[in-house]
Order: sequence, then C-alpha cells, then structure tokens
Amino acid sequence: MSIKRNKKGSAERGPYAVSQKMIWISRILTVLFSLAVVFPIVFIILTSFKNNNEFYSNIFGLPGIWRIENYPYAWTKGQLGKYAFNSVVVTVTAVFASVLFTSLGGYALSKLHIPKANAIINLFLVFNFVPGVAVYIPLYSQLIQMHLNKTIWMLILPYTAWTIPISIFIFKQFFDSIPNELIEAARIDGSGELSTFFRVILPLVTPAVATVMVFNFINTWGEYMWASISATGSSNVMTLPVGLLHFRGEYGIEWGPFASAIVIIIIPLMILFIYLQKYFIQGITSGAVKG
Amino acid sequence: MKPKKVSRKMNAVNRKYMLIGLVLLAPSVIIYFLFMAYPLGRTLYLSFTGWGGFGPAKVTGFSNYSKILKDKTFIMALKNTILFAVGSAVFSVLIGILLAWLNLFLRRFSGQVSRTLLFMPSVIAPTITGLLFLFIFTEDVGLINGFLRSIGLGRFATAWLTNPSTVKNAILVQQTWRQFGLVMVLCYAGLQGVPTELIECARIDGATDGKILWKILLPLIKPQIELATMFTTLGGLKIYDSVVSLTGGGPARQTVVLPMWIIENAFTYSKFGYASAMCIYFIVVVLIFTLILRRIFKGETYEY
Repeated sequence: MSIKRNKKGSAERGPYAVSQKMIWISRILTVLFSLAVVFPIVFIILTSFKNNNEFYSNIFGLPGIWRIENYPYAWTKGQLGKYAFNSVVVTVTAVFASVLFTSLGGYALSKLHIPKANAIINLFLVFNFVPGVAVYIPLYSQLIQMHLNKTIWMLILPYTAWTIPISIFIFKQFFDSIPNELIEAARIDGSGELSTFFRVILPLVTPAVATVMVFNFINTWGEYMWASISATGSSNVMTLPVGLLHFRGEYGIEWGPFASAIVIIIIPLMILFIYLQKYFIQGITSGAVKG
Repeated sequence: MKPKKVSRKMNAVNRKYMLIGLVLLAPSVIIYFLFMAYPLGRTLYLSFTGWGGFGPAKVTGFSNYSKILKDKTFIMALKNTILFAVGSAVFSVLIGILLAWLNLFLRRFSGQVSRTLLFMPSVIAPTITGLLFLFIFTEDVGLINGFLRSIGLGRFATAWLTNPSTVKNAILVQQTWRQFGLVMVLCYAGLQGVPTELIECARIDGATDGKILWKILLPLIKPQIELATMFTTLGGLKIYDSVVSLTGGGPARQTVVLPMWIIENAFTYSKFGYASAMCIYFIVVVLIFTLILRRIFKGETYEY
C-alpha cells in the first residue's frame, strides 16, 4: 500500500487528509471565510455600545466607554417591545396553525386513501413556485372586504397559507415512511381517528413537526414584503423587520442604538437556530427536492 | 364469490377513511385556496383590466402586457432581478462547493465550528442582512472606507451605495454572503455520503486531490449541487427585502427589482391592472428559470 498516512488524525479524517499542503490550504481558507462571515456581526455588536461621536472617530476599535444604555434606549425609543410582541404573536400563531392543519392534511394524503393524493401534492408544489408578490393586490382588497385590515389577522392568515405546500409535503413524506400496520395497530384501541392521530400517530413523526416548525418560523419571522404593505394601513400591525426599517428612517443617524436594535433582534434567534440548523436544512432539502 | 365480498367490505372501510381524510385535508385546502390560489386567479383577471382601485374593472385585453414591454423601469428591474439571482447563485454555489470540499480536510471539531459559523448568515432575516451591510458600505462611516483610509488607500474609498458603478456589486456581495453557507452545508452533506473506499481506491491508483474532486466527488454530489443552485437562483429571483434595506432601489432606480416596481405601481400609484400584468410576467420568468435549471442538470445521475 502506497498510501501515506499521517501520524495522527488520519483515522479521524478519513482518506482525504493525506497531504499536509491541502490541510493547510483548507485551514487558511475556511478561517478567512469564517472571518468574513463573523466580522460584520462582531462589528455591529461593537457599534451597539458606541455613541455617534465615537462611531465616527473610532470605527473599528473597542468602545472607549461601553454604553449599555443604548439597549434600553433602542428598546423604548424604537418601540421594539411592541413590534416584538406583534412578531411573536403572528409567527407563533401562523406556525402552530400550519403544523396543525398540514399534519392532518399530510396524514390524510398519505394514509387515508384519498384519490389522486400525489396530484394534489404536486399541485400545491407548483403553486409554491409563484412569487408571493403576485397575489398581493387581490389579497389586500380581499382582506379589506373581510374587515381584517388593521388587525394582525392580515398577517396570520396569509402566512399560514403560504407555508402550507412545503409543510404538507414534508408531513406526507414522513407519514409515507411509516408502515401501515403501525397505523392500523394504533387504531385498534378505537378512540376515534382524531384522538388516535394526536395521541399515537403524530408523536411518530416528531422530526417532521420540528422540521416544519423551524423552517416556517425562520421564513415567517423575517418576512418583510407583505408585512410592510400591511403596516401602511396601521402601525399596530408592524412586525420587527418593518419596525426596524421604520426605526432607521426616524433615528437613522444614531448608529449606536440602531445597532443595538439589530443585535437585540438577531443574537437570540441566531443562537437558537444554529442549535436547530439540522431541521432548517431538512426543510430546504425536502421542500426543494420536489419543487 | 367470497373474495369479492371481502374486497367490497374493504372498500367500504376505505371509503370511510377517505371521508375522514377529506375532512382532515379540508382546512389546508380551504386556507390555501382563500389566500393564495383564488387571489392568484384574480391577479390573472386583473392583468387584463385597467382597474385603478375603484368601481368595476374594465377589460382592456393585452394592452397592459404590451405597455409593460415599453416600460424602461420594468426592463431595468427585470435585468437587475436576473443579474442578482444568477450572479449571486454562481458565486455562492462556487464558494459553497469549495468550502464543502475543504471541510473534508479539517478535523471533526474544527470542521463543525467552521460549518456552524459559515451557516450563520442563512438564518438571519434578509432585511437585517441589508442593514448589516449598510454599516459596511456607507460612505462616511462605513467599514470598508474606514479600512481603506486606515491603510492609506483612501483614494479607493467611494460611496459604494450611491455610486452607480459599485452599488450592484454591493448587493451581489451581500446576497452571496447570505447564501454560500447554505450551499456549503448541503454539498457537505452530499460529500459525507460518498463511500471512503472509493477515495482510497482512487488514491491507490494515484489520483491527486484535484482529480478526486473533479472526477469522483462532483459527479456524485450532483443532486445536492442542483438543489443548491435551484434554491439560490429561485430565492435570488424573489430578492426584495435586502435591497430595500440596503439601497431602497436607489440611486436613481439603479437597483430596482421586480417586486419593488410591482409594489410601487400597485400601492403607490394604484395602477392595479398594470401591476398585475407585471406579476404575470414575473411568474413566467420564474418558470423559465426553473425549466432552464432542470435542463442544465438533466442527464445521468451516478449511483454508488
């Protein structure tokens, strides 16, 4: 065997890491790209502790005085509390509604002998190609007619709808992989289809629930286009992304508090979603494979 | 006779479940119909009218469609949308594949750390990515200009976001920054599935690292590359949030994208019919790109 093995680590690294040169190239390039990713985020965090004077005179350095007061200032002045409340209510409601409806729907399409189930799924996925903006005009007037404008339902209902195709597809795939015998066994205790579903069958696809939740949460939480149109009627329905741009418009010159507002919004979510990235990627994989 | 009876009985049971199934499926279908499918049909209808928001819509046939083709802002928006989608997809797929490959050479722990870091931008809302880059590209206090001045290259400093020759690149950089980590994670998952025996055999035959990448790894992860390309291109065609927060479409509409011009026509000028026709063009563009990508990636896939 002419394979040159490194003294250590080659078992761990597998057959790729045989040349020292490639290992060093990899290290250097990944570190460079990681820095490119991390730098803007660190920069924002540093800026969030500076005032304008310091920001202009000392862009890169650590803040001379750590102005923690930027944070409460951004929170109250920018009304972030109100926007955050709206965002949480809208996102949580839409995500839960979507999980509830599409888990039932995916189960029905997979196990309940609905004719042309695959055609129905494909139809959903074809519609999913359509950019959201294409329905805004009729949707807006429709929601006014339903007297739902100026309420958060204007966001919740469309958000729920737009997450349905991917979610129902994910659920159907997961249910397809569960043997029919298991479903039939679950039915035997005979407490009705719905209660069997929630007590026995849904727990079998917990990974699907997690995937749908995480994937839809990320997409709904950051949605800006429809949210900004909805907010033109009333500031009561502003979500965080809209509120943040609003904040920029009004107090844009105050870089420090503006950066604090951004930090407040991204850091908790980033930590959460780095932890849950597996599910997010699953969502993309299953969604786009068919799409 | 007996088997037939049994099967009829089965059918009755199945029909019972089918009815339950239809009830369970109904909420999803109804909500999707009400807030997506039905409005989409209305958009198609409105695109043939000159509706301005009040009164009955007057059908004007294809006049919106032909007017749009002479709309200079629409053409510019279309070009920008395609440029941002294709440009950012090409860069992020190339960088993503490169990094996925390089990750194979790292130790388990450092690989995990680097993958987590590189994936971070993908979970940040696009509006916020735009704002992050605002801090970087802004003329007077931005990071890049500050950096250039501090190393004595101040003459290269420019107003990146208001200079028409740099602003589009700024958006491409921003969009690529957002996406390449995702491509990397997808491709890395594919690379991990490649059996190590294959690589060891190739090494015995004297293949270099480059050859292994080109002849073995890339063909084997073609499905993942296709997925990543689809995701970045189609996602890029819908780019809006990050452009609004970074440039707002400026300077002088240089970075206008399709959704922006549609929304402005609809919700600022109340030209609902006209904007609806633009939506239909937009859908057609997305479909064409989907078909092109399918075409590009057609051909055999390799099993291992």
